Amino acid sequence: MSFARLGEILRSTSFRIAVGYTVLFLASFAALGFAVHEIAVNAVRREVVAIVASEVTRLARVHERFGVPGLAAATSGQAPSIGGETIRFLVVDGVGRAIAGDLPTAVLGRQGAFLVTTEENGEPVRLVGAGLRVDDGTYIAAGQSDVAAARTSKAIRDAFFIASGIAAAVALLGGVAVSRAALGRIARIHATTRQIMTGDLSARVPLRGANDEIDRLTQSINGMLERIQTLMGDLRHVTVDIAHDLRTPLGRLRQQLEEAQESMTSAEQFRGVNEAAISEIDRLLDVFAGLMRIAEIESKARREAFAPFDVSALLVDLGETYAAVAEEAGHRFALEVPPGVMLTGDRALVAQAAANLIENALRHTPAGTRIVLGLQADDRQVRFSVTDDGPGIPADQREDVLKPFHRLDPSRTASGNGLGLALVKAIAGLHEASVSLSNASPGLTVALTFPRQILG
Amino acid sequence: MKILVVEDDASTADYIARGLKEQGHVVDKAANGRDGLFLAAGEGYDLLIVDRMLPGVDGLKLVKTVRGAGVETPVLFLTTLGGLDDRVAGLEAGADDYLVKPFAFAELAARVNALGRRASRPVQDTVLRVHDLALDRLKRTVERAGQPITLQNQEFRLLEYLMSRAGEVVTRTMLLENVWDFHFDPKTNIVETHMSRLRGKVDRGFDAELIHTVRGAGYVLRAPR
Repeated sequence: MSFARLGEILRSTSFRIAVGYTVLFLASFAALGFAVHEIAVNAVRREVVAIVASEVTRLARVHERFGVPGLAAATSGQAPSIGGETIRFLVVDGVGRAIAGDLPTAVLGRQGAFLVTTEENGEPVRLVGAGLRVDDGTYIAAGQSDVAAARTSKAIRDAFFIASGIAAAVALLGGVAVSRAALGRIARIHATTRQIMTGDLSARVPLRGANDEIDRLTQSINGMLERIQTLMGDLRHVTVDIAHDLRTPLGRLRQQLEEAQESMTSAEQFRGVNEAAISEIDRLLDVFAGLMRIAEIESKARREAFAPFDVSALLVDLGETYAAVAEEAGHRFALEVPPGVMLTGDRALVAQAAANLIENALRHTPAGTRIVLGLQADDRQVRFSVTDDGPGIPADQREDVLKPFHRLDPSRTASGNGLGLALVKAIAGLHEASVSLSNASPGLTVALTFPRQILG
Repeated sequence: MKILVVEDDASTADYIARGLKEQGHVVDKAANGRDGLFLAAGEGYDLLIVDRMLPGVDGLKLVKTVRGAGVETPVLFLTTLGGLDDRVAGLEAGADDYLVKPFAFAELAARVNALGRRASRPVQDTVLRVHDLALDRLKRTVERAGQPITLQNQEFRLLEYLMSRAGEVVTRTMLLENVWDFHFDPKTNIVETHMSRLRGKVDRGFDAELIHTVRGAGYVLRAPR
């Protein structure tokens, strides 16, 4: 692990969290340790005091029966010990003469349990014990150096430091490990985004399969990348198509003008070329108008034009308009529209979408085809459909025809700007409606399904 | 007519002015909104042609200001390609008609004439009469030389539009906008189809044709000379 990498880990969020928790843990551990220490040390001292206090009581009884000389005898010889530490005595008579014992006189006069710090042979010593002054003024004390408590205290402190050290080390190492793991996964996300920045839109962040929060983040990042790639693909496709769609008529235009320049002889000829050029340019302008209209609708700037309108009346009117056109073209045309269906939306745009669908059916089916304009409504939705019994569209191509410039005839010689269905899709999008193409066996049904209430 | 053209693109302004002068109009030009506003408010024009996008005061504001000052001069609004909301906004601001750029000159000329004649057009006659053709707007009946003619809804609206503008050239786009309420270019020959049906009912079998095609411009309904 390089120092740079270590630095990165030390700065990482998960490591900082680990350090924070370690400090908090050690603080609570210290509080606990202090409490344990106090309780244990006091318990040890109480035990010592209990034993020495019973020694003092025994000596008091000896004094009662045998007087001071008895005490001197009782305290000489082999002294009892507690935990290897000898019990020491002090007996002082009523006038202050030391009779027996080697316990430092600093404890003199203490009644009951005591804890005294004094000096003995130039060294500090702590004494724990009990003292008693009996009736004739004789003072009896027993006690010992406080080493038992000190040993306990040291043992507890040692245990605390060792345990804390181990816990801190484990916590910090754990923090490093967790940070490394997290940084590793974040590094993979970094690597993917950098790959994308350099132009490879197909890059995806690998999943760990744990379905944890980073996996979920990864999934939404990948979902976003998927969408971006699709949109970029569409955009590229459209750009290429626009270029193609404009190049072809522009090329034709140039050719016509060039030929006219070289071989123009009469005003009549000039007029013909001029008219051809103008209609060529009009087609180009039509493509631009279509593109701009789609862009404008997609920018959703026209919600303010939304109002309730009678969609039945609109379709009956469109039906009258197109029945005549259909008849001229040798199609059969029928209207299946119940009266009085209302819809909230932009009437002009819905009319354009419906007109586009009807015109598509008229233009892309052979003479003799039956075209039915239908409307169905219930509480939740209004469905407008155009059904023909013509040749239909193969299932695998139905999605594609909604894209701009997509034509089933790849030579692009068919009339139209190739934007009709893309415009319908944009208008549907503005109304939160869906466009569906389905098999009418035989033929095709294109339907626009509007939700009854459009929110917002 | 005395016409003011407020248009910042010099080549478009010249194109419009030249064409209108050839048709016998007097044309002034203003290259920005401020000058346009100044001229429109002061001089007595018969028609204002105003571009949507103008430096200084934009077209919409100009029309609103002019209308706010009580000037009732008809206004033809020029909008840009694909400008869906411009049409509504322009009409709301007080414009009388709109035209999407780029346009054919014949289209502009027809609209200019329509707006110019509007002032002299009789106010909503109940019965429209041209030669021996009569259309009753209330009874919704049509007869020619005393013979009743049965028309469908749209044919009636189409004939009503033509007769109310008798003698004026109406373009295909004007018909689409005003008879069909289509503010887009349909890909089928709606106007031609319905016009030919209407002619079949109104003109066929009678000695004089009333509905005429004007090549490169549109249609006109007029009494035989």
